[in-house]
Amino acid sequence: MDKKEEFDFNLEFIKLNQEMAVLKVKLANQEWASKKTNDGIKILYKELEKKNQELKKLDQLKSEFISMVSHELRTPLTTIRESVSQVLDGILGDTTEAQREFLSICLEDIDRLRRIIDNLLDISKIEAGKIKLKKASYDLVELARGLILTFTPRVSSKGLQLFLSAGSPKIQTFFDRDKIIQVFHNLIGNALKFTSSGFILITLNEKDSNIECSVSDSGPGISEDDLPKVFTRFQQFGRTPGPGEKGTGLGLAISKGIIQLHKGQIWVESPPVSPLEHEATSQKTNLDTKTNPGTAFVFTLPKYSYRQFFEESILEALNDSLKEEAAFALARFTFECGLKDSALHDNFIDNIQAKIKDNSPVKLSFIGKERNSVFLIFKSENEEGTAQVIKKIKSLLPDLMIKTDISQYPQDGFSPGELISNLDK
Amino acid sequence: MDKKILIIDDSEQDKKIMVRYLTRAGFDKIATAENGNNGLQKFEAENPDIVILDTMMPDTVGFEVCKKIRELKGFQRPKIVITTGSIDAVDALRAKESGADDYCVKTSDCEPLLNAINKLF
Repeated sequence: MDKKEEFDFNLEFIKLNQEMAVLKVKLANQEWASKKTNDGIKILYKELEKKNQELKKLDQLKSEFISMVSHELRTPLTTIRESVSQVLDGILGDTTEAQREFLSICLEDIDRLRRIIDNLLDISKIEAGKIKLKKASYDLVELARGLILTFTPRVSSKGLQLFLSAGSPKIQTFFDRDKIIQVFHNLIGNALKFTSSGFILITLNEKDSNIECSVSDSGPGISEDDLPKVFTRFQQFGRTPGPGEKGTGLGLAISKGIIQLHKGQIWVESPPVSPLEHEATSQKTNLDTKTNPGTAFVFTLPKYSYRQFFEESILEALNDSLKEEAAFALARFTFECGLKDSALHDNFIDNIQAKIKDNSPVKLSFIGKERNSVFLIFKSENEEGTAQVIKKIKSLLPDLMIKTDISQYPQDGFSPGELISNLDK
Repeated sequence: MDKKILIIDDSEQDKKIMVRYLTRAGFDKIATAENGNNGLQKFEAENPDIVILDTMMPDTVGFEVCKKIRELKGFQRPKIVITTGSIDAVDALRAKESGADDYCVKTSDCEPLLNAINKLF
């Protein structure tokens, strides 16, 4: 290597060294930046979590507040209603025509106020997850016929027609009867409010995996912009109601909550698409669908077999550690379906038995299976306790024959092996 | 504490929160400015020990203010903390390269900021 080469080499070496130093600083800076960013993200995440907790707590407080206030409002309202209606009925002395007219207005608005409070209570219960469905097997067609009877006077007085179209003469599934009636009342009530000519149609159709129900009307329809807002609570949108009951803006939010609790779906269509019978009904009634496209509210309910339903209710009760409810559901299952699936029964019996621990006066103490019956043994230390057990069994399983012979087992309570000895019909 | 602080931030709300928490933490000499220009003037007037800079301001970004402060001659070298509401790795690097001593998130309790300041002294 000559001098020049050596010099160049050294120069190159120094240059590289310098570049290396610069890169080192850059790398250190990058590292610093990522560390700072990481720290910041961690802090922000914690802050977000804290805020989220606070919000959740606030939301819960809000729900509790609504439910508390609603309860407080309900009680005095009942007294007011009773007093006003007594005056109106002339029980407290004669009234003039004008007085009666004003009292009637009072009464109407008291009822409206009560509906609002009831709705507020309902929505706060749904939002707080405090509603427990009382599901049993019912026929939807029969239920809808009942609705037709209820609504016909109001529908006819508006000059409308009310139709029912059911896919089969009997559509049986498991649901909470009162709650589904409430949904139908909301939907039919709405249709009635917004329809001034034509008809209201209820359809019930059994599909592969669920049952599709709909309430459609021949009203002015809902504009596309308003459709997404329909199920939001307190939502007012561009449909002008006719005379009659004023709404609370909560009915559809409550209906949605109820259907979701049933693991079903609810949606709105304007103009109606899903209820195929709607168009035929329009033609039959000679309606102009251009000016009155109509609206349909459609909801689905899951189709259950007895076995699916009871499996679900037994598991639900077990999850909530309600061993007695689970035992009753199992008894009910046996009553409805017999003891065909022995392994399933044994499995549930073991599960329930495992939850039986305490021995308080009126408690399920044993569940077992013998021949073709499931039997539950309740221990009670006195007659009062026994009466309680019988009352409970009767309320949960009203159509069962309950055999009791209390006097025969006065010391050790009694053996409801005897009591529910004939679960098979 | 005898350390003088200058806060340069355009958000009234954020400034108020920072002043409140820093005062509570024992800093009683606090000056504020609402944009970059005003901030530099205040800096020359007050000669603070600590500068707290917001990233986004109407007339400039915090990194530029930071660079300018570092280029000023005739002042003691202040500690500079750049704060932000939205953390970002690219911004963190820019903060470092413009000569900031720390880069931290704004929170409702100013804890990260106080920690950063305490670590600098």
